[in-house]
Amino acid sequence: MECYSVHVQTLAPAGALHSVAEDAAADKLMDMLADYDGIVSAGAGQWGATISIEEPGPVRAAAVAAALVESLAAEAGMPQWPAVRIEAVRADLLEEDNARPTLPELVSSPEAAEILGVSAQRLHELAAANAAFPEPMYELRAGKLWLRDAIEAFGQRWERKPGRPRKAAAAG
Amino acid sequence: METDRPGGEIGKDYREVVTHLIDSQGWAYLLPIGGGYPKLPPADRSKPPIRVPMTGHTKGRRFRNWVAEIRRAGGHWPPGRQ
Repeated sequence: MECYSVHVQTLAPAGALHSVAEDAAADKLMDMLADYDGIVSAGAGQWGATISIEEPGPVRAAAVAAALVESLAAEAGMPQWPAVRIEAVRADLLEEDNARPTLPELVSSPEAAEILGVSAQRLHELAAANAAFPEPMYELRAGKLWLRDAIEAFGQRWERKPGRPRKAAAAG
Repeated sequence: METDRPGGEIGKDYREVVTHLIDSQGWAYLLPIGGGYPKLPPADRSKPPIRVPMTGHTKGRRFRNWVAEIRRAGGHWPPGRQ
């Protein structure tokens, strides 16, 4: 047996999308799911619950959890809307997911130059002339922002050529 | 949307997350009048408010499930690079 976190999401049928579960019912469901480490979310036209459950695998965990939530929700007085999403994740994987930032790590021009070990001017030359140089994720008035991973990956693949670029050498 | 501020009615770890969501991500925190669970309406108002547990072990399974709900509703936790 392993611990799974199971999320059940319900959705109101068309025509009832503005209906809202009563606060008292959602609070009661939250109380009833406490033994399952339950969390309830409830708003217009939808409500959901995430609980922890011990089962041999994710398929059974999803089925058992969905039935449990449905049963307790009815007892609590929640709207009997159909489940539209059921996700079961093993607890250790959920912990890993939760620890991972959701926002990508971005770098500005000076930071990208530092990562690549080049000057700011050289960075702009690379960005303009090297087809393999990553496109920025954002172009703001304050400057461009790249994914740190993309700059680091470019740095690993980039074949640095020593000496001055040919065009500058020919002009000199 | 006006917001309350989290206090001693929720655990320290929940309070840290709620405070960050309010201050940095446009979420709100609503204390119920007359009892009940505090509610956390996401910045994306199409997502349903999430109830905040008032008891329990903050580092246990319930806290993990709650963080998962936050992230599912578009909340960013842990914070990005400061």
